[in-house]
Amino acid sequence: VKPESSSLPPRPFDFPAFRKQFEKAYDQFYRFNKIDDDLLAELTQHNLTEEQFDKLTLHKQYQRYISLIDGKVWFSEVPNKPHGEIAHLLLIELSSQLQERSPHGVLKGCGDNGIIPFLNVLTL
Amino acid sequence: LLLNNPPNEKRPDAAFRLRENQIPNPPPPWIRYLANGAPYPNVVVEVAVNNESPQKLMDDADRYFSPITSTRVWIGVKVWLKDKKFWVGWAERAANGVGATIHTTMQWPPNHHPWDTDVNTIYQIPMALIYGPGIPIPPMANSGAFLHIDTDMIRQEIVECLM
Repeated sequence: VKPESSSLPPRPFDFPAFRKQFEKAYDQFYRFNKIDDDLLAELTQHNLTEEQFDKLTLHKQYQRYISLIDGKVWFSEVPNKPHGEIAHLLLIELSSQLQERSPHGVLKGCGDNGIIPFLNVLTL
Repeated sequence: LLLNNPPNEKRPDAAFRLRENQIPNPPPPWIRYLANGAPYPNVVVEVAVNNESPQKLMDDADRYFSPITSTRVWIGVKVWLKDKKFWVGWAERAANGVGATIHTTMQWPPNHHPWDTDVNTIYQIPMALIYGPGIPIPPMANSGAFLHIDTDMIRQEIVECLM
């Protein structure tokens, strides 16, 4: 008796095939700072281990813009100039006015330096 | 900014949080904490250069003021490279406790501000709002009782970078 499709066991994760799709996405990301929606959706269907993620991303120029969060691959947008300059200007301006470095400093800078890589926020 | 946004996560371009040793014991009830035990930032900065609509920037501002955060002030900058225009604004938590109340003198497209023209606006954000109830405000010799955000200082930075 032919089993119904719903009773079939899930296919094992085909990492080499995933890697091909990832490389295609990375090429788009590197050259255009954009990735086809369908390709992105396909990539985020699968869960990766840290080891698999490292195999995909180590030694890539835009490695720092790719993250593994809850097993999924996420691509951060590579900022355009003058994004970094404005962010830095505001950082030093706020730091100065908030007297961050003074012995009385109450607030402390905690930008994108690994202290809070992501804020968990609820979608309203 | 993420090309494929993980649900419920957001990364600011700069942020300031309370030092743990400056938080009174017991802590004021409005403070919320991240999973790593650090308090949520009081101040977050978001810079957007193209690739993001004004609505997206506003939606993201709202998300920083969700019920599980204790963000008090958001500062946003938007730059349109093609149009050579920009926008600066700031936000505080809405009166009902959720979402952003935006403060700005600058307009959105099609009436957004050209970066080759002075804005002549300095936003003044109350320090008491930034630090929050129950948190001691350090002596502010340089800025008095307000945090100043000079829109023309930002404008000049854009011009210097891109001209």
